[in-house]
Amino acid sequence: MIRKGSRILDAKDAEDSPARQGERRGIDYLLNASMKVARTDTPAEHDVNSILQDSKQGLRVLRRLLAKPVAGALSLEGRIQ
Amino acid sequence: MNRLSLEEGRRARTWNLEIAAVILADVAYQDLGHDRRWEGLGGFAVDRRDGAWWCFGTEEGGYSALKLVRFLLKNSSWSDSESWLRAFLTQHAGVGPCNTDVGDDDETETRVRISAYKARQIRDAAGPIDGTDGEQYLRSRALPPPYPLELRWLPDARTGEGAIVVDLVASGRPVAILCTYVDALAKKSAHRPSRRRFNLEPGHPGAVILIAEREPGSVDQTTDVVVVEGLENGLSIARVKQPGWAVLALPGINALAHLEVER
Repeated sequence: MIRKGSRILDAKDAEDSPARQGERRGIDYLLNASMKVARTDTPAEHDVNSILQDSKQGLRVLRRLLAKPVAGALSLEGRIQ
Repeated sequence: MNRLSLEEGRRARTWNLEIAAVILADVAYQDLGHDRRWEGLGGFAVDRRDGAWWCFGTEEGGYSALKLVRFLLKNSSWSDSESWLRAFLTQHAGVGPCNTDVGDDDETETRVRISAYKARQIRDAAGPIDGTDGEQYLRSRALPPPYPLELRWLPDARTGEGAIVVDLVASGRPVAILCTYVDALAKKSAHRPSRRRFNLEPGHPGAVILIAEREPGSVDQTTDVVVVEGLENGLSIARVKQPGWAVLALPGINALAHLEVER
């Protein structure tokens, strides 16, 4: 159970991921449940594991990605609910 | 005699309804919802959508056409069952009528029972991941041990493939398992689905892999919970986890809209 008002970081796949719509619904759900939601600005065609797999820079890039999230906002559908 | 290949097994499964109809030719049946139920067999049913089958009396079931034949031929030998199935498939070309994809979250009674049966079977059969193709696969994804949660390995999860098995938790207890399929070359399966959920109990669409909990007394400046999709991504986050973070991995992105949250 995630406590009310928790600060949730969605370490998401890149914007062009086919899972984008499900993710948008999920973020709307969490925001409407009084959570504070932020998202990683994941580079195109990457996820956190593919970033980690870069043996030289992976850990550093992943830490930087997680340290610079962008605020999640309600979608139009989420505002209507 | 060779076992059926993965593709042959999948094609055979689409014929499960017809296979049951042939073997039980003299037995009356009824169509109830998605299921066809034969009478006098302790509640034997086949899901007409994808061929999943279940016997309520003996609590056996699953998806395999070969196991279905063996069950209906009153536990004949594997060899005889396979011969019967191969002969059937020779006479029935192409894909059969049970070729609809049914989601892991389907909660009709037969599916719920099959899912729980498979989940229990897999939990009993899975062993430590150490030294297995599962560990080798994770190493190839820059994820060597040790791991922050218990990962188990099922060597024969489906034809030619094993699976990494993890618990999905909700309400503080395991309610399902997630299998991530790995092929014989220790690569993620190219066959769909590449991961599959089996529910121990229904009604928990927001169940997650609890990768790591927040360390007691720790508070992070910006984040309480990191949510990510898939085991590999969850284990990746664990590599850079801060003490104040809990890390949750979703079995699929749709679980995000069902997370258990305090209201």
